[in-house]
Amino acid sequence: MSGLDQLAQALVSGASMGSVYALVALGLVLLYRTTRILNFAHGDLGVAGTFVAYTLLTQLRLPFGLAFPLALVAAAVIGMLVYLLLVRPAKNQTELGLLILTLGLALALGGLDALVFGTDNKLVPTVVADRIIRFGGVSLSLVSIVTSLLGVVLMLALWALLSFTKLGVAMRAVAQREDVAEAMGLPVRTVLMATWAAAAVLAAAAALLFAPTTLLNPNMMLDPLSKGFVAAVIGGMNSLPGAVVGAYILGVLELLVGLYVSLEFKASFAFLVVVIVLVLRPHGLLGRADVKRV
Amino acid sequence: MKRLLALITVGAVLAFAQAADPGVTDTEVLLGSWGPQSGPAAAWGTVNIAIDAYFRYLNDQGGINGRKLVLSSRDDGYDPARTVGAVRELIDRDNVFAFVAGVGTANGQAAMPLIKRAGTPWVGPATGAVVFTEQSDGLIFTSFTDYVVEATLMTRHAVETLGSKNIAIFYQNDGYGEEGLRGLEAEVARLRAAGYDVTIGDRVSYERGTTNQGVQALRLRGSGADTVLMFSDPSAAATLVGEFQRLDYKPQMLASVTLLDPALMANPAMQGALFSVFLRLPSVIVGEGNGDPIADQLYRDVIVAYAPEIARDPFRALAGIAFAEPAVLALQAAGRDLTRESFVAALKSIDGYDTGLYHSLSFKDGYQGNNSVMLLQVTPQGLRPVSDWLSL
Repeated sequence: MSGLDQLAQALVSGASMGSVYALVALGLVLLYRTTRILNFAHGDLGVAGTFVAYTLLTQLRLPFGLAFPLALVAAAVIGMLVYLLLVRPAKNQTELGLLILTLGLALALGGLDALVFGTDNKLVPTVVADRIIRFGGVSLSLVSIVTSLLGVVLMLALWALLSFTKLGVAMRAVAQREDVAEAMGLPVRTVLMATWAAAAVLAAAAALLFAPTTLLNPNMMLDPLSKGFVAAVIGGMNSLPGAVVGAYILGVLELLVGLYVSLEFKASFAFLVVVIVLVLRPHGLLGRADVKRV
Repeated sequence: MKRLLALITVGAVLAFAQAADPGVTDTEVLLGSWGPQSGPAAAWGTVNIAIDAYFRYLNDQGGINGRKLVLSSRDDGYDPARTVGAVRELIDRDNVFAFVAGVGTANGQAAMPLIKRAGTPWVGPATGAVVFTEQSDGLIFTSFTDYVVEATLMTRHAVETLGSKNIAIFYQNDGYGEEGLRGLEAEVARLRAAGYDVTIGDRVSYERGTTNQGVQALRLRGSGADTVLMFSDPSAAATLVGEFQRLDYKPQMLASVTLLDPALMANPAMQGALFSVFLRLPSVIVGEGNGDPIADQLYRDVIVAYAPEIARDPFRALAGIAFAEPAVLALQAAGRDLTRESFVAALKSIDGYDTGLYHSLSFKDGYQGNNSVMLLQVTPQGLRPVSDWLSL
């Protein structure tokens, strides 16, 4: 295998991992810019959705095409319940209090998954039967192509939701000034509930696309969640395009570092990138400074 | 006078109590253990359920030398900090006679100083780390073929039987993975000295808990290795073989016993891979007619009869029995007059025992009692044995 082929292969592999990071980061940023909550339970919301999908796929033997959307619906419902039962009653909490609340939720969801589904590893079927497709010296698997495409479709759907629907405009309005949005008669609570649902759907989509490439267990999303956070910070915590850009940069850079620098350094490299970005561009690559108007 | 008599009586009782070791009465022997019944490794909780079932099975046959075996087991959630608390309680409050099994390398390492300070014998740690035999101090007796020996035997089989010329290793960057690497390096050096044409293609590690193995797969393929040894966790292995498939790279894979995970073996990308095991396996794992009669009997009479709830996890269930087996043998051999001293002496006298779950168990030459593995291959029908017992 030539050096150039190896580089091309690394770019392709990095980009497919970048899609998973991007979905995680998008969910985190969507929620953060609307509610100012850093959601540590994001990964566990995704895993919960994946367990639903796993049950539908293996117990009820539904096809992936049906199990996938149903699991996303389940994730949306879980997201709404989290908002209604936990976040809304705690609305007077400080940002730190809400952050602790999501940490607690992460532990509780992890425990619940273990209780209901067990902690043993589970093999999740792939979206389509796998096939290898070659482009010159680079080989791609059909599964990773479909996975990446599904990721892009979901990102486009989010963009369309925010840009062209009333709900999307309302979400953006609440994100900018919640008090003004409320004064203008926007149903802020419904908007917030929808935001939680959308974030949970993104989390579940990321976990669902990631699960077939590894083994499903309650801790599956720990690493992708931390990488999603890094991607979000690189891109700017309040910028959705930034989250996507940050995710793909991270996915590819990680592989290049592992390939050309050192494997041991690969795991901690992401966090070095965060430090560099925060020093040079404190609001991330595409983020904007948070201006507090008095 | 009455007071004097009372004092003498109390003194006599105390003297008698001191003479007997903790955890032994006329009717019972109390053995301690820990294992995760919750947390990330809860599946390994099967080990302790199996030991408890094994003890109840033996007790129903009259116990050992007229004493019933009682297991006091604590859930540590696979958290070494909790293992320490559990072990302290087992020593100070429950007064256990000895420890059996105990799941986890880090957990065992956390517990080891406490166990040694109390002078409590510890038989069959449920981990293949060499540290427990290397630091046995005459108290720890292991029967899980250690990872260095496992990698050595896998490498030897690959070169001598499968004709491998270029072997690479995929390993977790910690004590477990590094022991696999140690075994590979030493054995390749020995084989080269013996005239074999074999090289180590690459040494590729990953950090525990990370999930993207894309680079690792690229490096392994780039090394041109025809054989890849795997000392990882099941999730990392699943990700790696997925990448192998994508790269259309098909080396012969040889996986450590820790990867013997039903979900991983069901992964289509694992077809043809070899797994090593250090104990005899029943038909329920290796297919009707291929099972070992000893393993079949224990699976049926102990697991199915006494703990049917773990029957669907036969490997970990039988491993539990296997970890307790040397302790039971030694309790038998020590006779009715049981002390820790006589128990340890009985353990040391086990030599070439081959009618249990191990191919051959000996503590005559050291504290590592088992140095054999057998290789199984993943086939469309399930796991099938493909080698005889391989021994050092």
